[in-house]
Amino acid sequence: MDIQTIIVGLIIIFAATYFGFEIFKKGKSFQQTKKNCGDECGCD
Amino acid sequence: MKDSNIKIADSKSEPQKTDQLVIALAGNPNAGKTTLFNSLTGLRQKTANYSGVTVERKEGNWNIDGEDIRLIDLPGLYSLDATSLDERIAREVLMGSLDELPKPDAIIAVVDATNLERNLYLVTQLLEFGIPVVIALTMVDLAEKQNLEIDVDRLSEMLKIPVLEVKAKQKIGIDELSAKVLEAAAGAGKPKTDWNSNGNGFHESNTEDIHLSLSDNEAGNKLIFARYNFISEVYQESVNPVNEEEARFSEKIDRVLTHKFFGLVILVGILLVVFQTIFTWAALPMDLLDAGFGTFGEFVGSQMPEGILRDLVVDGIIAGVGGILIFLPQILLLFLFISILEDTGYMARAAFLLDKLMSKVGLHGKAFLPLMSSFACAIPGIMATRTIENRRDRLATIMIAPFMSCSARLPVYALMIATFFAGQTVFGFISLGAVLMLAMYALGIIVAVIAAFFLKRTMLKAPPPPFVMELPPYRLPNLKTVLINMFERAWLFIKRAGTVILAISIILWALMYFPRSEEPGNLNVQQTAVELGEDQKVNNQLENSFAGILGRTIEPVIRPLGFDWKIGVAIIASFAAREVLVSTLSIIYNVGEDANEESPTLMNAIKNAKKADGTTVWTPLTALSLMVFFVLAMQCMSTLAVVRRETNSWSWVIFMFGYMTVLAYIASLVTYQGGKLLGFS
Repeated sequence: MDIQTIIVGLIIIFAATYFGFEIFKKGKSFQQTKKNCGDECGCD
Repeated sequence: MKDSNIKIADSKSEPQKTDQLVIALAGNPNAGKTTLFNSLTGLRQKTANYSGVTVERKEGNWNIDGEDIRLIDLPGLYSLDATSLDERIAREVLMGSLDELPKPDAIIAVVDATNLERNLYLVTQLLEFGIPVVIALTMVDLAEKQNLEIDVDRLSEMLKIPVLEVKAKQKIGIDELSAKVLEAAAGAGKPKTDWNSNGNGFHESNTEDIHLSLSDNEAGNKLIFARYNFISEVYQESVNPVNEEEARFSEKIDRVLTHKFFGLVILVGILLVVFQTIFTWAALPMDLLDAGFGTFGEFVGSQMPEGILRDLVVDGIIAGVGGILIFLPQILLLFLFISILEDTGYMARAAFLLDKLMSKVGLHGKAFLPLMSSFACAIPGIMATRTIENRRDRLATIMIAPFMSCSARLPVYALMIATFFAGQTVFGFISLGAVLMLAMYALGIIVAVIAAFFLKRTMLKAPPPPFVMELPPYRLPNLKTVLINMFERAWLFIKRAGTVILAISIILWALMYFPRSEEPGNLNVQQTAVELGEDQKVNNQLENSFAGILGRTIEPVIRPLGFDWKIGVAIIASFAAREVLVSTLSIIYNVGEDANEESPTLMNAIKNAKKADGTTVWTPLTALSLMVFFVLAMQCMSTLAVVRRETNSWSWVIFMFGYMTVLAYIASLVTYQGGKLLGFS
């Protein structure tokens, strides 16, 4: 496996984890958020 | 009996007091509180939530003669009766019972001179907290236009607190306000100002008594009457109506703008103008951004060595995120117009018009605000339903909130309209694009009303309580407030593109890139295509990728809607977030691009996409069918997560997802098949 494949693999894993975390955060814990979702779905 | 939701200040739990002065800004909604807050703090603001709740806490640094003061902007309130979450939070801030905030040293009560009596009710309650209060009297000029002459000195004398005329936009009265606030804060700890010292049938000895009285109807009513008696006395003494006969400007306009027929016609006209302007003005910057991202992609592609990483960066990240970011000018313009409409007071009239319609189907009057918020995003809309006390009314509002066309749908509508309906007009002068855009917004509202009608008569049966809506006076929009609103929204859009959309784009690219149908060494997609002299290989790759397999699996189900498997892939992806459709199409059609060919825009790629038999994949009817699907389908994981949290039930989440998606499918099917039957293509 070359270095490019490893980097891409890591990026994909990070993106998937980040997305999963975002959804979990929305459903679970608004009190920890820094910004109220007063404007846009994606705000955290 | 004490209200269990109200915490009484406890010296042990009180946060550590620092030397920095803390000033709270309180006032009725539309009293000019935000304008004053912006004027005092400029851009030195930050927004957070109060712990454990979704009420926004806005605070900023107010610099007075080199001293930084912590200015807390409380939620807009009519009273401190603690019947809503906002009121309860404000009460807790003033009592110093929140861990994250010390008790304020003084309060600036923003009082709208045109609605003095109603605003003074809150002031009497603020005075009861024993914190020094300074009144910032706003909209005095408007009050004068309404022939109300306010004797500020007399008002101050009767209330026994400083009262200052303030024009935040022009920075008039700010220096005097600063001085009085510092003076008042220095006197914190002194005996509280007693509005009731002359005796109005009720007397409170301390704040706790007032809270105790909340659950005691008789005592509570007595106190309310006492407050109103006092306010009435203050009003009569300090306000001189000059000419009551003359009709007020706002009332005259309202007779037309809130008329049940002409009001709606004007509302539709205003929205058409807004949408038409958005399309016209945004065209050039969007083209520039589109070309910019194309060139950037080519540049990065030419600089990076061939391989999987280059494919990810160029075809996944730049195409995916760039595809969304080109819609930034439209988002900016949309929120510019929304801010102007809000700031002039027109939005409240639009609310009034639609509220009549909503009350007919049994929706609570308070549902209007959450539904209006949902035009930006369903999440704050759903959270705003907390102001609705009745659970059934609240659930009905939550269930229909996602039908409102949120800003995430805008890129989808815009892409379809720009690709298939650009340059066409209705009656020779109205842009077809603007009409279609308005139709999509209207479709969402109509279906929401119908859905509410059925929900309120079946699963969520309950009589709607009465509701009174206040119409603020018309005023000139404040440029600063409008621009701040617009840029805040734009920043959130950019941030979302750079975080969630970026993550989804990467995942989607991977789903389209793997598994590799053939792996001859380090071969990339473009290279393979060039060698074969055809896009056939690229198509095979997409078709056999994870995403392709998924798309082809659902193709038989979506074919009657006019969609092929590639659109199917984009639709599946858009269930994560609606605007991802655009990113996905960008990635799908970018993958087939010849490296040496001039980069085609997404719109051209969509128009030229062909099926295996050589016919075009997309037609105007396909685009319309897709737009209708997007109006009605529940395609937002974040919204579903919030619904789960707010309803505390998976059943409602499943119900919402199910009924909205089924409705979307049926409506899209009717659009496409009906259109074909009528001879459209």
